[in-house]
Amino acid sequence: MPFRLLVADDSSMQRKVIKRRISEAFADREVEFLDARDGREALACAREESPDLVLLDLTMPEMDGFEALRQIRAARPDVPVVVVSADVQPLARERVREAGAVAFLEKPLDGAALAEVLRDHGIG
Amino acid sequence: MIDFSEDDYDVLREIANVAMGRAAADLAELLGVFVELTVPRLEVVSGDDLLVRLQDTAEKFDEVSAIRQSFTSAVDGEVITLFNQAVVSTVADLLGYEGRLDPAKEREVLLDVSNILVGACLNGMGGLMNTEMRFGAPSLLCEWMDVRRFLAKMFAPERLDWEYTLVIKIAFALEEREFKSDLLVFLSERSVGVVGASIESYLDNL
Repeated sequence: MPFRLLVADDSSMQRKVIKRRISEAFADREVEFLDARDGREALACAREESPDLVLLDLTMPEMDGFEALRQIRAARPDVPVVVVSADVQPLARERVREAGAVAFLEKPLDGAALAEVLRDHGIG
Repeated sequence: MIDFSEDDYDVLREIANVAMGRAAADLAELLGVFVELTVPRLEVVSGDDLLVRLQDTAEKFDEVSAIRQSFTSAVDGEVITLFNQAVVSTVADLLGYEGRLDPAKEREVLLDVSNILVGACLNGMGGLMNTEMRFGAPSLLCEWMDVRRFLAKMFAPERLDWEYTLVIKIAFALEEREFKSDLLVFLSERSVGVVGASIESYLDNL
């Protein structure tokens, strides 16, 4: 069974970077990537596609990552959400923890930190 | 006119996004409140179209104070920070200033906040593009002037000495406060060409 990973970021470049990092770190693991370009798409995808984990940006159009996180956690409390954001305010970090994110990773993304978080949450 | 591909804009938006995040963190640390962020907007604009492209800024503000600062490095240009009137009272309240601020103190508040936003944003962008920014002295362009009048005065095509610019618009707002500020970064024509190489350098480092 592939590991189904939802990557929600309005930047297609950022989604590509994340996928490349994960494919390099877990070359022996089959990973199926699901894409979302904003919070609404992320929420719809989390509801309909049953991902194993969500990587979620915060600053996105339509619905921001804070709201998407709250709604994804309400709809799919079994799915871990990792926030990947350039919003490095301590309050942002605190709020996503309170809303149920399992980890917060800063942009620009550190590939080793991403791999470690994914390992802790079932990809390995 | 040089323009960028959608992928290039995507990379530039991400660079601006990271820089904006750092500026927000600095402002949040100073004021002790949460800074709300939206996706930065970028586009290469000709001098003739600039006023139209700043329409969203015109609609967002009533009266503004504006601070201008130039910067040089591998890329150069100018940044204009716009503030709504609530910025002064909000900052004074959050920093615990007593009583009404005199005009000199008001200016100092605006310059301080502009300095934080501009410094963090442009140093952040410079860092991601492997170039160190040098800044000119900030100057106050206007105090509580109607935003449409200000924009028309500043960006009338006949007053511009360039044909096109890369405009980066970054908006900051404070949660549950009236504070609004827009950072408008204008990169020079020369810089627009340099930015393409910086995009490749940024991608190589990812």
